[in-house]
Amino acid sequence: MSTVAAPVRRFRWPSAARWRAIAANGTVMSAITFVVLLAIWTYYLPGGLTAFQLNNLLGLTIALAFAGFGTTLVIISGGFDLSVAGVVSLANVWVATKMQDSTGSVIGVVVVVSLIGLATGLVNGFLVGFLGLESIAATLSTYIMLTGFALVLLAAPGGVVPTTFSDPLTALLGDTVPVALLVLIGLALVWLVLRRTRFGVNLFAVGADESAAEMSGVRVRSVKLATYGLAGLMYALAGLYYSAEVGTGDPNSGAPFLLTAFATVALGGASFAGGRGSAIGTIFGAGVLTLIPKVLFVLGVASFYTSVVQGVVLIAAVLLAILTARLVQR
Amino acid sequence: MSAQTSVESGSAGQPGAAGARSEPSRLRSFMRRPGVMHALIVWAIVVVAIPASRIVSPAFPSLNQIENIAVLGAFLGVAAFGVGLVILSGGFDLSVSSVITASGVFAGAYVQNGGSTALGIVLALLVAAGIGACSGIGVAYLRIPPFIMTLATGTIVSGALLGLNAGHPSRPAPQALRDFFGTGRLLGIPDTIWFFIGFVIVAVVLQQLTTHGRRIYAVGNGELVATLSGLPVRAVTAGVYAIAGLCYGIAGIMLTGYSSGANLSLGNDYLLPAIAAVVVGGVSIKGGRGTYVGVVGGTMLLTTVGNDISATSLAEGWKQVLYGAIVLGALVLSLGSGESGGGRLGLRRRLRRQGGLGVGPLRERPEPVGPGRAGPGS
Repeated sequence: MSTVAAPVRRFRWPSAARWRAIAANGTVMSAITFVVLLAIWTYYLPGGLTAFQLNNLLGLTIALAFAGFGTTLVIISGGFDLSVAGVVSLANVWVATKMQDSTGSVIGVVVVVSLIGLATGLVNGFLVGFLGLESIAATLSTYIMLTGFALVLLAAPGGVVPTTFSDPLTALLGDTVPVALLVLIGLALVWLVLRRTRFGVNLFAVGADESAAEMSGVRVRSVKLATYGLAGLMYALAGLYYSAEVGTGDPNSGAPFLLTAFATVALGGASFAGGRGSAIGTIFGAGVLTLIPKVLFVLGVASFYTSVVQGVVLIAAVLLAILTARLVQR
Repeated sequence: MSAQTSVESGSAGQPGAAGARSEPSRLRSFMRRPGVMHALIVWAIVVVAIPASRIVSPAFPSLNQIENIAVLGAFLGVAAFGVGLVILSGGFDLSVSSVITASGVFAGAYVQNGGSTALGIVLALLVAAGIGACSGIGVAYLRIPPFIMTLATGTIVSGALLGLNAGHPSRPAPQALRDFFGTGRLLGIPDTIWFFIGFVIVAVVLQQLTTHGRRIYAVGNGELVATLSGLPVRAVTAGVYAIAGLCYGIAGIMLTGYSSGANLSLGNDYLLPAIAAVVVGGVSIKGGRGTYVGVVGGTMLLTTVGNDISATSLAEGWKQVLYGAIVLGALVLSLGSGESGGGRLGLRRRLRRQGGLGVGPLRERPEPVGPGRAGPGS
């Protein structure tokens, strides 16, 4: 949190230390990367950036942003959560198999799926916070189990997501403003509020130094329980939005989220050692990750190599974060 | 008994030292070594689980079933040695599937294009070890978190495979491999099982008796202490990932021979089971504790359960659910026997054993806070 630049009141050239702080600020860096990639994409796009193109881009970004939001919370707390892939798979399969084309059914399924995510997260939080299990191991077990449940519900890709559910989420308001954009802005606002709440402050404290937080009277176990619970809810929302975008079910649909969720967090500049990170950086990170294949496409690179570039970008982002963190410490 | 052990290992700190210093008989001190008890429990469950398979099918237990489990377990067991070694060193590896696939596909493609089988296998193993070494260098020298580094190398390799093999969804297995891992038998036992027995012996010797093996334990128990003791921590860490890559490569070659071909999803089903087998086998995910004998037990347990589920009419998904439940059970079991103590979170557990997490005792014992922060993850 200490690296967040304070607002400059009067214009003055920032000092060298301030420049370094800005460079080390993951949110700023991921936002700049996003804008640069967006500019390249727009430049090469035939016909320029239309509302339709923007809606398409944000539609692909938004599920990732939700998944990344949850992952960010857990990373800040100093843990790892692999269950994101399992929750997204189960949510997707649940929507594709249980949801009918009626408002009542849509609301019912959304509530049930959210509760599944929340419950999974609370189980994770209990295992990590109260039983003291290592977070990777504990969430690995819930991840494997959830993938199993998804396979039991739907053994092979199939099923249909009702349009009553998907249309409003993927719509363009007044043919200009994508609903996804409003949701993303809402998500960013949620973060701005959340990190100022008692829970948010405690979350950073636990991630920065668990023992110190404990000694300062922070109830570390409860904070972890809430962190994983909230993260699980976010994964469920990611699964819901993902289902609305793709319109069908696949028991393995969540698997790619394992890489991408962590990549967005890395791109967003969070520290994997805990205690530092921003969901807004993660949201821009999700945008960057979605833009990469699109930019590669307009530049004429074969789509096979998309994941190669994503992997390289992931390493580069983490290396950059490590290097800039060292610069600031100096 | 278990409570007593946990208190002792908790107060003694370093497990290796605790084993060496204890006065009682060698057997008892061996039994107290972390992971040994766990390995015995897992193997006991395996021995019970195979006859118990009769519940799902009257055809079980049979020699045929045991042979099947051993063969299928061999592939997983070889990969799990790599994963186990990485976890033992305090790391994590998510590149298992891609490296298995890369090795199998490379060997298949090399021989298909007219190369010799032996050279193809050697080159494939070198490629696999090389990919592992790349992960290792990233983790050890560039200080990228292992989780992220291996996720990235895995993704890069799978993307590259997809690009390089465009138009070749599958490569046929070289005849020699097909003969050995597919159909070959010696004294009525499949060659794969003989190969695996040899692999286990080499692996156990490497891990338990060689200097490199002991160094891996030391690094896993605490990088700081290992560094201060003069160990080449970075080289050891990088080497671990290279050996792990080699193991995935061997698993890839075995699978290619067994399934008489290598397609781009050859290794897909091995990442989670391999990590699960390692955890079930009693290797602490924080590093420094565990045995390969336990991991092989975990492998056989998971394979037996998978075999049983496949014999029933239950959906394939239940296999996964059960795997997850077994992993969770193993984690809780190791918690109960105190084997997950130590490491970064050891402070809290030690405090809990002293009777609570309140502010009082923490104020009295503030000194462990410093070393706790200087853990390998920072």
